[in-house]
Amino acid sequence: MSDRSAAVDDPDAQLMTRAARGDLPAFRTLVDKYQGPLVNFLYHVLLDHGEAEDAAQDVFLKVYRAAGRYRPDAKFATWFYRIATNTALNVLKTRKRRPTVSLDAVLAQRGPDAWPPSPYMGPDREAERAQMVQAVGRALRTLPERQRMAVVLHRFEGLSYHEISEVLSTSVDAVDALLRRAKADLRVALTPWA
Amino acid sequence: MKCEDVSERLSAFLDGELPVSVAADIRCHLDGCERCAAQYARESIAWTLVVEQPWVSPRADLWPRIEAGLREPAAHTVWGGLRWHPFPVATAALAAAGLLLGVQLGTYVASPDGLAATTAGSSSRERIDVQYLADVFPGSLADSVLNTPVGIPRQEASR
Repeated sequence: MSDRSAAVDDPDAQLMTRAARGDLPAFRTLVDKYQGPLVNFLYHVLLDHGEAEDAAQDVFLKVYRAAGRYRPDAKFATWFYRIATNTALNVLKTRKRRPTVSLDAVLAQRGPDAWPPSPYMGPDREAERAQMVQAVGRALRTLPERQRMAVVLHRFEGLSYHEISEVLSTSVDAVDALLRRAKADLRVALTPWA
Repeated sequence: MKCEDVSERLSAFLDGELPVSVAADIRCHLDGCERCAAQYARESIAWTLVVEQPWVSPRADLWPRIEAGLREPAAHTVWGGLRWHPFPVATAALAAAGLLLGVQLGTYVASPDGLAATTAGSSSRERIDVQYLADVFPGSLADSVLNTPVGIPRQEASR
């Protein structure tokens, strides 16, 4: 399916086109749909919940103000996450302090509910799995920014290599290399359980 | 396929990004190679555990904050201001003209003729104020100032 036909069938592209004509309820629908994934994406990139919230607000405002320039010849999600990625990169560039809220602190606050439910494997296996998830999480946080972005866009947002290449303004081969190196680093985090 | 070739492609294979024929070749290799199969297993597990990271939800007030932001004028960077301004060239020309005019005006005021014109203007305004004071306080210093010939320092005139 070509990009153009994909965009024509893309309901989000149609909503954005309506928002560009001043249809605020259409824009609200997009916000409702994308705010969760966006904040999650920004959190895993910026590693700070407060900054992720502020950046999310900034992204939606930019999206609305750029509505006049939106062309529905590509998937809305690709265009949207390109704005989100650039916004996150700007935050990272201007950041002068370390993240104030670490993932570990969030997990400590949220307790057992922090982890999505998984098939129950017995207490020992559950504890081991939780440790492995934490190990991968720590490794994810230490990945270089572009690798981390590619990982989150692929694993959380389900974007293809081609779509990620458009978001990151790079080639598909470069995306492949980013994800290959990310997987190698994350694989190393599981060495204690090898 | 050789192990080095498979290792290079395992990531894309795991993500379903390879052509069907290449993916079939890799699957065939994994069935017969313990080392590559172990690498694939570890990467699969790590890749699976990525999506089990905690999900962070937005605060409930995100939409109200967005709505409030939509009502405010956009804060433009310098580049953003140039991009959004409909007539950047005209604006730049207007600014240059204003600067030139200001320089010309400043040069004129600083010149002897210009200074005299401004001084005369301020002297007439000062004279009117003194007249008012003289009217209100006859016989006062203001009265004497008003009657002092022009060009003579006031201190000297009052002796």
